[in-house]
Amino acid sequence: MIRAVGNTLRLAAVATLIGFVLGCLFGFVAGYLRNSWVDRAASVLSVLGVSVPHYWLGMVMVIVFAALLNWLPATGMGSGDAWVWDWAHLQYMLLPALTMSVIPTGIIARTVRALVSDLLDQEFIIGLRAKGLTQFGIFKHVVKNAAPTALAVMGLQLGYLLGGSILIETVFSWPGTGFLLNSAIFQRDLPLLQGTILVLAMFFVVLNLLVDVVQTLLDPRIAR
Amino acid sequence: MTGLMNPQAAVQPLEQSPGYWQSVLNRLLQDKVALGAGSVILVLFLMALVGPYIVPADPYQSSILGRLKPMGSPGFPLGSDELGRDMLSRLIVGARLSLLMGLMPVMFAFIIGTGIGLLAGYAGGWTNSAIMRTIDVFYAFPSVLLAIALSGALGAGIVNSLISLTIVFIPPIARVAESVTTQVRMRDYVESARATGANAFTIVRVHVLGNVLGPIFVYATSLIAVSMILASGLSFLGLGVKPPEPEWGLMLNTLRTAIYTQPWVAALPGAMIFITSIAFNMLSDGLRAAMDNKR
Repeated sequence: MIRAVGNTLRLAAVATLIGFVLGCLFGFVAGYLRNSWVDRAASVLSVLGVSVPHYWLGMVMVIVFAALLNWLPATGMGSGDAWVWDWAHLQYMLLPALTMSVIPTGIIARTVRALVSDLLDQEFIIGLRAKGLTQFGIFKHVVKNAAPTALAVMGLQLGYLLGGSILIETVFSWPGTGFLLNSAIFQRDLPLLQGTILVLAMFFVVLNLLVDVVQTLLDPRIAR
Repeated sequence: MTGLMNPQAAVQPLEQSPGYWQSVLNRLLQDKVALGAGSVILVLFLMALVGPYIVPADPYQSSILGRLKPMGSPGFPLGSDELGRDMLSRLIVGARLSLLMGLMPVMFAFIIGTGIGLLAGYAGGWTNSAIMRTIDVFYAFPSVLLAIALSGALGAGIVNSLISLTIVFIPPIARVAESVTTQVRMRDYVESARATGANAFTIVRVHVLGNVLGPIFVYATSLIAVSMILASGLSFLGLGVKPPEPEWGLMLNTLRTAIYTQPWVAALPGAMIFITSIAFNMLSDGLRAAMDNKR
């Protein structure tokens, strides 16, 4: 059980990280270049990201990268019980983590875009520009103001992925909590089902609390 | 002088201004993306309605020789599945169950959630706190987990997964309904209605409902895509529709073993889910923009 939670946590964390990096990238570019083709492409991408059934996307990934190209392994977590951060194990994580990161990418991109385009219209940015601050200097100010909300969204997404990973874990046979839940459901093992869900819900609640605390630390205005 | 003789003619408005819903419809019809999404949904509904009568082959008819045919083979325009059933027919007939499983939970949750939200928002005070804190408990679970946990506990089947998805969607809808009702309740016209002696039921029916249903409805439409994905996901896990019924999620599940032999045929049912959920998301976005009369 602990091992399963660890596996799920690892997968969800990597997926959220990918989603955060990609989402921020798209969001910042789209927010800076409003109404350009980049912006439109990013918004289409984020609609696709929230609309795609991720279990199907997982299957398509397996079809393309495992069945047709034969580049990456389709299922499992690699040999041995223990997880090591090397390529032999990491290649097993690549497909599920990429698949899983699609939803947070879309949502974070959308949030960051709205934040950045909002911030760029504010008077203090115009003031900074009038003072002769370089583009990079202004960018730093934007990042500082956008960070608390973006991080909060990331934390919430990590929580959702922890709970929602069951479908992806089933597609990729990733031995995490989703896999455990699946077997619990089909063997009608209700105590296991209840226990797993309790642990996951606890993680979710604790994460939400953590997000609130970190957000207040980053931005003291929220505390008031 | 004629105006005085005929007062009705004098007060006739020169031009009938279009009503709110008329202008929403007009704006929606000008939105090309929403129009495109709407027509996709229309086609899907048509498939669901007349699908079983127009399919080229029996969707339940299996054949041992015709298993896992590729796309474009004679007799199987989109290939065949792992039991040799025609994919095209199954995809068309599958629209009925898939749409039903996606739409019904949101519809039920819309009715129940609006009721709960109205009650909490209009009553306010103690009742509000009691109801909303109970609703908050459901927020401790991510929606996917809640849906799977509920249908896992209830057991597989269409009715059970409909029930569990409805329960998943009630809390968010109730929350939206509560917040808009609380806003409307403080307005002057509600206050004056109360002053003229209207009872709570009349106020809610006449003055509150018309002003809160719009936002709640728009929110509910944005949940349809989520519901489609979740419902098919439940079937994909084997918790929803049971074989041999054609439903896209279940078809995706049974074809999962065939991804090395017929990869593109295996991916078809998921593509249908994807298209449907994009269409619903885009129509919902268009509806939200059209109903925003602040512009």
